[in-house]
Amino acid sequence: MYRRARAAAWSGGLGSTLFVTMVVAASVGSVAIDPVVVAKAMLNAVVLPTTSGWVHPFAFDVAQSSQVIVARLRLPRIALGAAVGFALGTAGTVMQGFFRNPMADPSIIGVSTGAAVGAVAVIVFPFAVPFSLQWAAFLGALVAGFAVYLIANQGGRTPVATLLLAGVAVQTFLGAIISFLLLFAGESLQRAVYWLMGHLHNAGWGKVGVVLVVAVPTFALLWAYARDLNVLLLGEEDAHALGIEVERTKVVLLAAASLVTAVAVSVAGVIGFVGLVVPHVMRLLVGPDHRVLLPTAALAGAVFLVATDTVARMGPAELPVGIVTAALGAPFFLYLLREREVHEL
Amino acid sequence: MIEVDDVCVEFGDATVLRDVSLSVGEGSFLALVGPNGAGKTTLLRTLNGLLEPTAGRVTVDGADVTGLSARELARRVATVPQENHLGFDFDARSIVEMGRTPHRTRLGGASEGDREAVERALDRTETAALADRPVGELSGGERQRVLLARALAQETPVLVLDEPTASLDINHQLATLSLVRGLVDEGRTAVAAIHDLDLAARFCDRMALLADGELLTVGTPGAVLTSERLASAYGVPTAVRENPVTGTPTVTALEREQRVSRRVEADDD
Repeated sequence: MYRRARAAAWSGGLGSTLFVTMVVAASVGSVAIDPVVVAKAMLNAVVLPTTSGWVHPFAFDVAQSSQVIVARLRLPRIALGAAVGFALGTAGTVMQGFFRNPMADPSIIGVSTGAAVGAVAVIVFPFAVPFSLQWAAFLGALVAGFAVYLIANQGGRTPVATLLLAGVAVQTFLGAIISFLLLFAGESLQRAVYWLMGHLHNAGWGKVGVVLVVAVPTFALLWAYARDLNVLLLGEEDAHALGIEVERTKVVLLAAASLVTAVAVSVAGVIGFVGLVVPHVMRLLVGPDHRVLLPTAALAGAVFLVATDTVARMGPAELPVGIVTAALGAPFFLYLLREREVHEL
Repeated sequence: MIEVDDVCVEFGDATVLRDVSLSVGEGSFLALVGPNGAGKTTLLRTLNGLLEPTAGRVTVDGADVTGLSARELARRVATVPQENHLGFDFDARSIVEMGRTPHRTRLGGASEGDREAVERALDRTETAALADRPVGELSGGERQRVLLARALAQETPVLVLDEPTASLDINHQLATLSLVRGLVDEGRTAVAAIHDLDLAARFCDRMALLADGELLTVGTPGAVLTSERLASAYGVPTAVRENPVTGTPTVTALEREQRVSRRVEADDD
């Protein structure tokens, strides 16, 4: 029961932090808005489905202009950042546990690179690819992940080390394809590079919905597997001896983590470091038990991405958020590496 | 009750086990002995389902091991692995709690029974004092006992142990094997690979001597531990005596050219 209380306390704390971060993020911009007004406008934007259609449970008195800026312009992007950060935090935690490798991140089996091939292909040859950019990226991600799995599979078993190396090789190969495509990019080069850096502009409630529809149920599934993930950390033979169907569990974990990564990458491009650093930080804070670690790392991923995207928006020229996450995340990670024991899971 | 019938294990061209048959009765302790590479660990791995025999079959209480799900098997057979680098920060209690995995549902919390089983396992292995320490900080011997506690928490009728005393000092070697002995006396069945012949002879009911993938003999320690059998298994001359303290056989390996001291020589042949 102690563990449940801890999970609830951390999740509640991080949930509140997320809300505060979102309020602050929505108050920052070309027009500064008082955070209290922002909070009211955000609550006004909340809708609940009922039998008689969508209902707004809150109706605070907020100036029309502020309401529009918050709910129409800023909130979709902030919500998308939260959803994508949540997805990447989830996937990164699962991949690190799964691979028992501190360098594992959400795209370790090539999911992001696959998405990048799909996206860049659409950007460079818009008429040759019969999918929208988002779909091309999503399908590219799934195809790459599945291909890596098939390559690593040997007679029904997928050794983790083989999976890791197959992922590296496939990523290198796909990287070559991306470079090749970029040679022909011409005027669309800037757009392609921008996508590859990871970004949250062009956010809309539709994208937020897509990410949440995939990420929330997948997160729930992964959370239900948290105890299996703990046992897998003992090694596959021990896990089998403790009653885990190792190969089946590995497929579930890998597929679910790749799916949330794919949907996040398909709307936001390749945002690095969130899925690598956030799980490490949370592991230092809450310990290795995935029943606590998974929800806290997911929420912390949301907080981190909303905060870094706010930084990305604040400068005179807007930066792709991927640059900010890497620029802030890498030094912080190095600090942890020197100060604490991040080298072990 | 474990039955091993004509089990062969091949890895590619190499035959690791050849036509091994033996049975271990309920409430009995079998020690697997033999030189390095004899196939002891391989045989254990066919008992806990990690390896599917190339030919032959292994049954536990009548059920074919390869036909059981991991969960069903983990409710019958608990394994104490030889080496475990638990290089992360779970505390010992969490590791022992993982022993309850085959008894728990995916979404359900720990039941009263689960908690009691964990406490009992911690008590019996004298690891309760370590329960809140990260396993990464424990000594090799302490970790070994935590793994034994994990297997006890599984509450299975069969225990499989791979070199349970290898990394222990003499005090904990004794404590571990007498604990296994006690569990067997309560009706559990234990199979353990043990290098130390004297210790094995002291605590087990029967011994199986393996060499080169073949089972040379099974029987009481007194019947298995003879100079001839040990010479053919280990390729080294030995002197077997009765330990004056325990009354069980004690084995001394001799250098090949060693002139056996007069006293030993006199009553050896």
